[in-house]
Order: sequence, then C-alpha cells, then structure tokens
Amino acid sequence: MKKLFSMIARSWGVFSKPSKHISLGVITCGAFLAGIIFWGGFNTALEATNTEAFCISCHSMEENNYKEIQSTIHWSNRSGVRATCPDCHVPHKWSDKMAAKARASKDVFGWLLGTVDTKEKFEAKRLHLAQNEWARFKANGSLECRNCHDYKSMDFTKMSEKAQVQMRGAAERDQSCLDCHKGIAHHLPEMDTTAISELGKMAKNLEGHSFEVGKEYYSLVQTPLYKDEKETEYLGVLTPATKFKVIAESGNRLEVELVTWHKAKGYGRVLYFDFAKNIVQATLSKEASQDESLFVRGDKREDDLTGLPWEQVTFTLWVDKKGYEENLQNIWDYAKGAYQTTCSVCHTQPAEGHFDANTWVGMFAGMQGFVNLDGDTHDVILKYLQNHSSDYSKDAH
Amino acid sequence: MNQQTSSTGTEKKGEWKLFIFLTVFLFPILATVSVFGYGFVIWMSHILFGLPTH
Ligand code: HEC
Ligand code: HEC
Ligand code: HEC
Ligand code: HEC
Ligand code: HEC
Repeated sequence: MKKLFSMIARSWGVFSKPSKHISLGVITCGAFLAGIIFWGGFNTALEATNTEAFCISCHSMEENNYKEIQSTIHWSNRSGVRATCPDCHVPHKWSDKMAAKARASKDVFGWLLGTVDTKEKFEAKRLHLAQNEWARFKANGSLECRNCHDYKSMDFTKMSEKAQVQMRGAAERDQSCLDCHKGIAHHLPEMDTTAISELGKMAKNLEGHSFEVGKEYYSLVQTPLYKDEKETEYLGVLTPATKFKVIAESGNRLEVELVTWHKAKGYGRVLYFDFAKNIVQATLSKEASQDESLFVRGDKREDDLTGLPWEQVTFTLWVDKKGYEENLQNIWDYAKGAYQTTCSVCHTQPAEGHFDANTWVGMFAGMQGFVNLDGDTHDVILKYLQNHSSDYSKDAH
Repeated sequence: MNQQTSSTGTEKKGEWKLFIFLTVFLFPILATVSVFGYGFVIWMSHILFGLPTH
C-alpha cells in the first residue's frame, strides 16, 4: 500500500513538471497519434456494438426476436433494404446513442444474471420489455421508423385502400407509427387474458344477493346452463348481458326463462336476442338445441334478406346462483367505458349508431387483431354496440 | 546536467514509463469512462425528466 502511494506521488512529480528527457515534439506527436488510434478504436468498437451480429450474440438464445423478424417485410422485401436491430432500437443522435449504450449496461447485467436466458423467462418479461420500447417510440414519435419512412414521401394513392384512409389521417396528425403498427417486427407479447375481468369482479361483488322469483336479471360473465338443479354437465353458455327471468329456486341453482330467437333451419344451436339480428344470447350443445322438453316454440318469420326462417323460442333452463345484475344500465356503463378506452387508441371510435347490429359483428371481428380483450369484455362491448346500433337507437340516422 | 548522470537514467526511464502509461492506458480509459458517464447522465435525465421527444 505504502509502495503504491509513493509510486503515485513520484509519478505526480514527473507528471506535473516539464519533461527533461522527452522532447515536446515527441510528446505531442505521440499524444496526437494515440488520439487518432483511440478515436478510430472507439468508433470501431461503437460500430461493432451497433451491428446485428452483436445484438443477436445475446438475443438469439431466446430464439425469438431474431427468428420472428425473418418472416417480416423488414427482413426481405422487393426493395432489398434490410432494417437491422439497431436501425429500430438505437437512436441516431449522438447524445441519445450514448445514453442508449449506457442503458445497455442493463442488458449486460441482465445477461450476466440470465434474466431472459430461457424462452419461459423471456416470455414472462416480454410485455415489460416491449412496454419500454413502446414508451420510447411514443415519446420520440417513432423517430427510428421515420429515419427510413417519411409521411411526406408517401404516395397514399399507391397504398391499399385499407391503408389509405388511416395513413392519410396519421400523416395529418403526424402520428407516431407505433400507435397502429405495434408488432411490426416481432410477435406481440402475450397479454394476460386469464386474469379476472372487470365483469368477473362485478359478478363477484354481487354474489350472495337474494333472488326474487318472477324478476328479471342479467348475466355479467359467460354463464353455464344446466338441464336441472343437480346435473353437472352443462348444456350451453349464456353470453354476458343476457336477460333471464327467475321462475324457481332450488339449492344453489336458479330455474330461468330465456326468451330468444333461433334459425329454424339446421340445429339452431345459437340463440339470438331478436328476429334476424346476429346478437348472440347463448350457444347450446347439439342435443340441447334439439331437446323439445327444454323449450316452447313461438312466432315464426322469414328473413327477406337471407331467406332463412327464424323462430322465437322460450327456453327453461337452470343456472348457478352467482352474481347477476338487476340493472342493465350498469353493464352498459361499463361496456361504454371499455369501448371508449380500447377502441379510441388508433382512431376516434365510430358512433354506436353508425352501423346496424349485424354490421357491427364484422366490424368488430376486423378489429379483434388490434385489441387484447378478455372474452367477457369482448362479448359485452360487442353487445353494447349492437344494442345501441342504428337498429335500436332512436337518434341514429 | 553532467553531474547528475547517476540519476538521469532512472529519471528518463520514469518519464517514458509514465508517458506510455498515460497515453496508452489512463487517458483512453478516462475518455471512455467519461463518454459512458455522459451517456449515463443523459439516461438518468430521461428517467427524471422523461424520454426525448421529437
Ligand atoms: C450482453 C448480451 C446482450 C447484447 C449484446 C444485447 N442485448 Fe439487448 N438485452 C439483453 C438482456 C439480458 C435484456 C433484458 C434486460 C432486462 O432484463 O431488463 C435485453 C433487452 C433488450 C431490449 C428490451 C428493451 C429494454 O431496454 O428493456 C431491447 C429492445 C434490446 N435488448 C435490443 C438490443 C439491441 C438492438 C442490441 C444490439 C445493439 C442488443 N440488445 C444487444 C442482452 C443483450
Ligand atoms: C432501415 C430502414 C427501415 C426502418 C428503420 C423501418 N423500416 Fe419499415 N420498411 C422498410 C422497407 C425497405 C420496407 C419495404 C418497402 C417495400 O419494399 O415495399 C418497409 C415496410 C414497412 C411496412 C409495410 C408492411 C407491408 O406489409 O407492406 C410498414 C407498415 C413498416 N415498414 C413500418 C415500420 C415501422 C413501424 C418502423 C419502426 C418500428 C419501421 N418500419 C422501420 C424500411 C425500414
Ligand atoms: C392511425 C393508425 C396508423 C398510423 C399512426 C400509421 N399507420 Fe401505417 N398503416 C395503417 C393501416 C391500418 C395500414 C394498413 C395495414 C394493412 O393493410 O394490413 C397501414 C399501412 C402502412 C404501410 C403499407 C402500405 C400498403 O399499402 O401496404 C406502410 C409502409 C406504413 N403503414 C407505414 C407507416 C409508418 C412509417 C408510420 C409512421 C410514420 C405509420 N404507418 C403510421 C395505420 C397507421
Ligand atoms: C422494423 C423495426 C425493428 C427491427 C428491425 C427490430 N425490432 Fe425489436 N422491436 C421493435 C418494436 C416496434 C418493438 C416493440 C414491441 C412490438 O411492438 O413488437 C420491439 C421490441 C423488441 C424487444 C422487446 C421484447 C419484445 O419482443 O417485444 C426486443 C428484445 C427486441 N425488440 C430485440 C430486437 C432484435 C434482437 C432485433 C434484431 C434481430 C430487433 N429487435 C429488430 C422494432 C424492431
Ligand atoms: C391498433 C389500432 C386499432 C384499434 C385498437 C382499433 N382499431 Fe378500428 N381500425 C383500425 C384500422 C387500422 C382501421 C382501418 C383498416 C381496416 O379496415 O381494417 C380500422 C377501422 C375500423 C372500422 C371501420 C371504419 C369504417 O368506417 O369502415 C371500425 C368500425 C372500427 N375500426 C372499429 C373499432 C372498434 C370497435 C375497436 C375496439 C374494439 C377498434 N376499432 C380498435 C385500427 C384500430
């Protein structure tokens, strides 16, 4: 220790005094050369850490990001331009690039600790990592994408019809690409859809309430239907927001009456809210839909549009005593909020009354790939839209 | 100078040794560390003041 101190002290002596033996020329030349070599080396190292080969030295063990991109347009296209990992992930501005490099120390620690070294671990962390990237793209307006793509240079008339409308709007708003183009280079992370839905929570809160015979209630979640008060095998499921009337109570089951329509052709397994309206109330097993002891037939009418005969049917079935809502408006309030938050991300959400009930089905199906909704919420938003569609709302055009 | 010949040998060696040490090791390392530090400070500023906008 002492030796080290004295060495530093001696070195400081030499450092702080003009040199006696090395000429100024040699020192400046030496320093100048060293500077050039250093700068070259520094940039080479920086370049090397900005190559795809470097990134995948770590990111291929997860076998995900690298493999996934190979099936996308940024790997192979008619123009022959490849987007590599750093093109999208490393900023070009020098200061932000250095920040990205410093930030990558987190990657190195993660690598040393093996935070994502198996497929399972990676999948578990993936959503979190993707959110980091989304936040970055959101803040900088997808700057990295726009180093290659520029709204000003896009010829919208050459785009597919589907793209035109949205892309023109996006250019007008100078919108961040990732608002709509998530998952452009990799698979989207698995979103947790097994978590209990908001509707599930509403149902739980209502559990244990007593029921009144003769009164009408609404399902909140997908609800199994049974033949009688004991049978464990179920005959079908009610969708959320389906009305039923309680006609008897026994143990922990309720006998309910369900007034619906079905197509009087084929098995008629799907029960609908209204004549010729694709608003699903329940789906039944093949056997149940044929079991005449479970339902009585009513009105019969033909749908002019499809030529299919429809028939009103009133089913009497059993459900478990769970949480059911008395006030349909509470369900619609929730659905409306969910519609406004999930469907306004990319475009202003269309007015409920803009389409009729049957058109909404197709519109909604087309959007399914864009949103991550659990089954109950999905069903209830669709039903909300259908029930407030131009078919039912008075103020629609 | 002539009367100091006994110490000039070690003195000269010391100067060269320090020169090499500084140009080849210490300064490049300091330069690298300060660039990294600069990046780190910007990173921290992103965390404190938000990500860069365009
Ligand atoms: C030393 C191995 C290693 C190298 C080399 C490496 N990464 Fe990473 N990277 C990781 C690990 C480990 C994580 C997960 C970090 C964590 O757990 O927070 C990660 C996370 C990421 C993320 C997720 C976003 C974030 O910051 O949370 C992106 C994007 C990424 N790396 C891109 C790159 C790119 C682009 C390169 C090449 C310039 C690269 N990585 C090079 C190991 C590495
Ligand atoms: C290195 C340049 C580069 C970067 C960076 C880049 N792209 Fe691309 N992108 C291309 C090229 C080249 C094509 C293919 C053009 C062609 O041949 O039609 C393309 C195609 C696309 C397409 C068309 C997909 C299709 O199926 O037709 C979309 C959408 C797209 N990029 C979005 C993005 C987004 C979002 C980002 C940022 C995360 C991004 N790009 C970053 C070069 C780039
Ligand atoms: C408002 C949402 C939205 C935003 C923001 C947006 N896009 Fe698009 N873009 C779309 C839709 C929708 C399509 C059509 C996708 C399809 O055909 O599957 C599309 C298609 C494209 C295409 C392919 C065009 C074609 O005819 O095949 C490219 C390239 C593209 N987008 C690039 C970008 C880039 C780059 C940005 C950011 C500068 C961006 N988009 C921002 C919605 C958007
Ligand atoms: C065309 C642009 C683009 C290219 C090229 C690209 N990425 Fe990504 N990457 C993204 C976007 C956008 C996200 C955000 C998540 C999403 O939307 O899929 C992302 C997310 C990630 C994540 C976070 C976890 C995840 O899967 O969401 C990692 C890790 C990652 N990329 C690594 C890489 C590696 C390694 C490469 C090179 C083989 C690469 N990326 C190439 C655009 C790109
Ligand atoms: C990730 C972005 C995104 C989200 C989220 C999204 N949409 Fe869309 N939506 C689009 C794009 C892009 C188009 C145009 C391309 C197409 O028709 O597929 C579109 C078109 C539509 C149209 C057709 C408009 C017309 O007049 O033809 C309807 C209706 C619609 N969306 C409804 C919804 C509903 C309902 C939701 C919520 C479940 C939703 N969208 C969520 C991106 C999104």
